[in-house]
Amino acid sequence: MLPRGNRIKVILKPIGDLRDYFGREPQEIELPHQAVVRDLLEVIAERWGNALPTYLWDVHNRAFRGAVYFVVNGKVLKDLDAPLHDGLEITLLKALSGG
Amino acid sequence: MSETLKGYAGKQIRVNLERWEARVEDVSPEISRKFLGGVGYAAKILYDELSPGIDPLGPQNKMILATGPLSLSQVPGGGSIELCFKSPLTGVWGECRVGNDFGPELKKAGYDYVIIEGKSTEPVMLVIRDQQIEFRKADHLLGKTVSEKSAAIRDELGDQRFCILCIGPAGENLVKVASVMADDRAAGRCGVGAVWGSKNLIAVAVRGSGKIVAAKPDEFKKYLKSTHDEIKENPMFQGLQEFGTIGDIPSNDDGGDWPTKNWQSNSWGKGPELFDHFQSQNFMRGFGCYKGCTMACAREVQVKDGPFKTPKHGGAEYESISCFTAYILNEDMDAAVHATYLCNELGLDTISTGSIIAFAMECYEKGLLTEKDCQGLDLRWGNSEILPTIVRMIAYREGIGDLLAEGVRAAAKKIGGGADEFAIHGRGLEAPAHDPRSGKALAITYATSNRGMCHIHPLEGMAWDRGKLDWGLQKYGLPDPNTVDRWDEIGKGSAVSLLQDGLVLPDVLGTCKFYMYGGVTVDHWARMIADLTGWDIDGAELLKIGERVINIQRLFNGREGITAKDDMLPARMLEVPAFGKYSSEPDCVFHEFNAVMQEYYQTRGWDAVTGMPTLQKRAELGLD
Ligand code: SF4
Repeated sequence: MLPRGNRIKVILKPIGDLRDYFGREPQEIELPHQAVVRDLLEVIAERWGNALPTYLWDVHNRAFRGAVYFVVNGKVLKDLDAPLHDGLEITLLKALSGG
Repeated sequence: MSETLKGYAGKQIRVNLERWEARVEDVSPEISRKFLGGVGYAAKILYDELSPGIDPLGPQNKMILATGPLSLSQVPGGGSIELCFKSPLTGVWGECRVGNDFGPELKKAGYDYVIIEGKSTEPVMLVIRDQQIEFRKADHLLGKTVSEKSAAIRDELGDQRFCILCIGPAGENLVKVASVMADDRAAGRCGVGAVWGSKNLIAVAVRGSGKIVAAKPDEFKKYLKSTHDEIKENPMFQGLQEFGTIGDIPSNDDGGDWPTKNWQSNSWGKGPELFDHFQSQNFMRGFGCYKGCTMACAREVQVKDGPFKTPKHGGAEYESISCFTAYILNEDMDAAVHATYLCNELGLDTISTGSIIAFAMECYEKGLLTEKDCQGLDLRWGNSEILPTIVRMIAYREGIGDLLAEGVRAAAKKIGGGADEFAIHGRGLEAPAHDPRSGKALAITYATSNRGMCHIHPLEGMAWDRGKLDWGLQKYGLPDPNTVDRWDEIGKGSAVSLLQDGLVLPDVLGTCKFYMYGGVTVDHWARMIADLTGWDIDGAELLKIGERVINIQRLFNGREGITAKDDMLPARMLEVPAFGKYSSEPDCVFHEFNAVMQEYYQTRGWDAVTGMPTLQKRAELGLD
């Protein structure tokens, strides 16, 4: 574990039905300094992975399934190596598609 | 290209099928400014020109093929054409949209609309090639499936680039749930294909070589490009592109938005495994309905082998597959893909056909239909073996298919014995695969949708309430969806009014609604219209036009006898699900439905008893 000063906090805001699984309020997540999207997925795997339904979460690959996206400023964050910074607000949503 | 109406083709064809004559008229600038186009312009024409009470399958009915001003391939979602008419299934306002190059091609040929009147004495095909408008005998096309017809027409015309709308055998047989097909994309609902069949209109083919020029061409082009760039980063855009509409099956099942066993429940629990089978076994690639579609949510699919072996085709939409799986408790995805393919080939609406089979299965279970009534078909829940046979029987009106071809409302009336309890429809239109027990706004949009309980207009209720989309409408007064619980009730009536005004716009503008899900807002549309036409128009005026369109369609329905008492949901949608994840969740059903409907009428400026716009509202909208 890195010293506290070297860690960052991001805010994960689940939207819609995902709040049933991640909680109704935004979640503060602590990550190592220089963390990337992949590190955030690891925390999700540890904290929520086993409780998520299989259509949303691939336990084996420790990744979301289907159209579940991290979104920052309205844009999808797909690059697992994209850097995260302290205070970043990340929306977590399941894109709606059935019409 | 019109001089008085910049950005429009400026002409419309009025077709007299009786005499095989076509007259080219000017598009009305006044109606265009008030109703823009698409289902708006068509509603005004049909309201003015159709007498109330006419037989929808008689020669007095008219069929309007309507583009909107934005039905241009370079516009996000612009590959669209709307078909508007009085519906033989519901007896009220009928409209269908299909994504295809037909709309942009009609504009290139020089026309915004085709208004089809009367009835031909023999099967006919209308061919539009720029200024040349031709009627051709179509006897030789009768009985052919949609793909056979389309191929034969292109061969006959000697040009594979023709865009074609045609009916299948179901339309020829006046099946009330027949579609009009644009290759494998469907104008599916409200019995549109039966209206074509009643007119002996088998196909319309179009090819154009002209161009629509915008009032401000450089600005228009630049703005379209920046909008395309902006939306491709949008999560909804990416979700639809990556997984198609069918990608929502697992989450809708989980979220109580997947009608199951003819609406006895709103969830089944089998959605994820069915979708996994689809992705690994049936799905081939995504594609766009028209040349410029960048979202490309349509799916190319197949069934490689087995009893339901099916060639590569475009289909397997969320709605179609849901109606052939959860609705009827069918666990075989291959059978569902095959059945929906058959519907498209025979020219049947997949939603209505799946609903009708679910209805028949429940009648069978309850003893209201016997094996003998059904010519030996075993209509047990989930029996996928019978699907190809029953689909064909409906399309060809054979045996029990003749009764079912009338739709669930009429079939229930004939069967009697309480069958109407299992006939799940709104205004006679079979309900699509979204359940208002997943969010209360959907109940209000379902109850008030002008064409009945469909999968297009009411969906904004679900998408705001549960999907948390706002389409840029918060600045016009829509509550932030993230502050609203899907099971709240009070407040949903007034929100729905604004949602409907905003989300009718794609069908008025002639675009695909999914682009609004993918990030195009009312303000984006307004800017495009301003650059295209040179008009000084903003989002607020577009919303006013949306409101005007909803109101004139409502007035059309009022003349056909619709009142507030028809704004009702089937009882089953107001009951706690009989089984599944939500069967012990009383909050999922509406408790104050009537109170919220009153709130809706009040916001709309509609009389609470007649359900019609008050004189004051009509005057405000220029509808007096
Ligand atoms: S987004 Fe989908 S439905 Fe809309 S035009 Fe493109 S492919 Fe067709």
